[in-house]
Amino acid sequence: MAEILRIDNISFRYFGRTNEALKNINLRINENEIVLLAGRSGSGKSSLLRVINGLIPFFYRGDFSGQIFFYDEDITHIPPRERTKKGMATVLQFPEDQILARKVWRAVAFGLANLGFSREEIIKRVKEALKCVDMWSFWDYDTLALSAGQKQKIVLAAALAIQPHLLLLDEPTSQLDPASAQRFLISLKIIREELGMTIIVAEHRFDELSTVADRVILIDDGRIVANGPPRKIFATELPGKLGIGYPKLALLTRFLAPDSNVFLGLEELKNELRRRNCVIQRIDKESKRAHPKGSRHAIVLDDVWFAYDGEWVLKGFSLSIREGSFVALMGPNGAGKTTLLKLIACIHKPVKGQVFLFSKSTNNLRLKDVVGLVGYMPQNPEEIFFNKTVYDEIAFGLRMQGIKENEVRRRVHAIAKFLRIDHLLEENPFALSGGEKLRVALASVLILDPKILLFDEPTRGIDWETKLSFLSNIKQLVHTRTIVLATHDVELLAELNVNDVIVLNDGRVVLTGNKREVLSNPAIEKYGLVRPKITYLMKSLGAEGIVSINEALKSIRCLK
Amino acid sequence: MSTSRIITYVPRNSVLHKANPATKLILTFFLIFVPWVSSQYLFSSLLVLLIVLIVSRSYRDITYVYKLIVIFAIIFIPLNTLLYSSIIAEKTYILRPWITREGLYQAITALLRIIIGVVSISLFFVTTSPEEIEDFLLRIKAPATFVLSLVLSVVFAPLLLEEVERIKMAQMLRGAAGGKKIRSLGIWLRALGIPLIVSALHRALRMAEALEVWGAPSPIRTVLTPLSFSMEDIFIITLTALVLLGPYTLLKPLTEMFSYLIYHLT
Repeated sequence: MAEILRIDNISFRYFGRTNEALKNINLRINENEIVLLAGRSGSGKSSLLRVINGLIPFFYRGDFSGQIFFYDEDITHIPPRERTKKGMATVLQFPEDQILARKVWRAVAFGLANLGFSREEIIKRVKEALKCVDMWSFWDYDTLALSAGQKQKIVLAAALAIQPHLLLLDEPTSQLDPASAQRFLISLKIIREELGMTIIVAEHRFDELSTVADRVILIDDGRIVANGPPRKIFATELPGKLGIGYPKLALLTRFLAPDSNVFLGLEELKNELRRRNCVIQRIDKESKRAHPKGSRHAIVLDDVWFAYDGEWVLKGFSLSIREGSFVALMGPNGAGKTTLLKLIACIHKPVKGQVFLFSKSTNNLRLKDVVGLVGYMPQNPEEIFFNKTVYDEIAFGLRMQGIKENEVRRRVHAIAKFLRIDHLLEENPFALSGGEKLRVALASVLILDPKILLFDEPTRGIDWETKLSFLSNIKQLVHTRTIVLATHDVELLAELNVNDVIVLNDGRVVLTGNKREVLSNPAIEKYGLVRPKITYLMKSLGAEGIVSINEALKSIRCLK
Repeated sequence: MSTSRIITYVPRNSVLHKANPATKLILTFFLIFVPWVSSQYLFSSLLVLLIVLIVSRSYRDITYVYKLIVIFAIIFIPLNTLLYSSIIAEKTYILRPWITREGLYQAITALLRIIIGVVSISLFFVTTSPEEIEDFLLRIKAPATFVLSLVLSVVFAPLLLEEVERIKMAQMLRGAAGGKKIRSLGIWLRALGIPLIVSALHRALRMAEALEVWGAPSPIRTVLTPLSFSMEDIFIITLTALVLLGPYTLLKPLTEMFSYLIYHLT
């Protein structure tokens, strides 16, 4: 196969930074390959993609050295828009920042129109691109009304409409629900096969990509530390050491048979388990978290109706959550999860029906009455930062309550120690890593000791190690508080000990039960969710309701 | 933030939505300036604006304008009444020596003129998609950078509003809006403003990245939808004519009556 891209000795340091983001990168990419760039947040994946599409050094200034060739032509000094003309297209992480029009077809046509194509040619290409991503029926839709998954497909269509030879994707699924992400990543294989494109994708989700990619390139601290087929890379210790994790099935194989090959696809792993005469044993599944007995209800929603601008978002919604429970809310974008959190937080009042917090109707409560009773952790921790130091950020809530500075200091140090951020108290919260920001935001919320904690998609777009660390923080909190967690992350949920999982769709509860019942129920796929990979595997081997790796490992016994 | 909502496009299928942006712009232009000519023109403009509001089916979408108007009226009418009462020569006192009938009349009609201007500008943006504005501006050879900036601000206004809502919720639950003192207000503005600015800067950076890879702004950008002239445009032009000719046609007795009513009601 012909070489499409060659990178020779590229190094780059961002303006004003002391460390190099990329260090002496050498790389060859062949035509028609799908290449997965993997590494922790901040390892240099996005920087490498920026070097390829020209944003480095033309948009992001700094010390740049090395050369880059596209089909043997030196493009080092060619700016991004010229590279787009030569046949490169980029899809970035946040779809809503790349949709620069209110109508779907206009959003797809945006790049083509800038390149000066005729109107007729643009319409023709937009039609083909929308058909390719299965969004043809959305031609004239308002882009604001689309889900995150549909938006990312629109951005992909806009990239495909340029008919590039090389498609660059920078964490394209980080904002998507699992089902949309799965469909999106699987569609890459179809695009490669039908359009003959070369694809380089930086991602944290390996489950789907590991079966589609030809090559995995591991990046750490701005260097390429491994480069090879997924089966080979995920058989090594390196992904674990780098903190990026493994595809779930690879992880299972590594535990079951450390000396064998790594299996990435369901069928091949199933065959291997049969070959090794593995049997499924009945096990005591991880004990279901018991509902707190005798405790009072912390949250009750009684026939709640709520509308935005005349459109009903919640329709006769009823729910009760006992004090000390841990409840997960799931469902597609726009299902009503965030609205529900806002009703609990007294930000909204129901149009009809009532919300009770510890038996008090919120109709009679003002928002300042629930400060200290309800805490809210937003998806992006930076959305609550506004102080110069971590200490001031955490202390803010207490100071607003008029608590004396001595007591403030005592409590801030205690919570910082609990969340292992006591060494960061004098740092600027904006300058921290992703995981540290998450813990500082959590500390800022927990400092008021709220009885009810609301989490809104806290793990979206973060790497596996950060997620695990956050998970351990949540596990420590569940004993003392009522927690409501809105999430799409089924893999995270599989590892958490929740009392109940509630699936919302179109403002109503469509499924409810313990995590095992819900996550192994095929019906969740109708609502933008996917069952964990382990559940698929175990079901095909005859074991129902297994959702976590630990349970799977306990139940499989191999005789060979 | 209400100000960004009043320029946010809301898709509908009304006559006004279907009309050419150029004709809508002409009507908006006349509705802004003509009411200031005389109180008779004020009535014809008000009448046309009511017709436009009804046919656009957008009265609910611009509720934020109404809220602004109420706040504005509470401040504007008393101040302007005092001002006009002190400078007008002909005086019929309602409350000596501060408030005169003429002053109150002038304050109300001035407010009505401002309302007509604000509502018609809002209606233009609420019924005209960013793409239509873009095509219109590109056709009249407006600079590509200006067109792109204008279109992006209209496209991203709703996203900014969502962001404000989220930040507000998180900060209020941390106790940020806990008092009525000026210091508390300062803290509240900082707690809302800094995360919003940081988030807007991040978004701006990501957008600029996207624009760079999509080759924007481009001096050779293709106009994607040809501007056409339809029955809807004839309707809008008729309304524009009504604004201009209203006081000289059958509407004349009505405009006079309106003027008389406002004066005597005050």
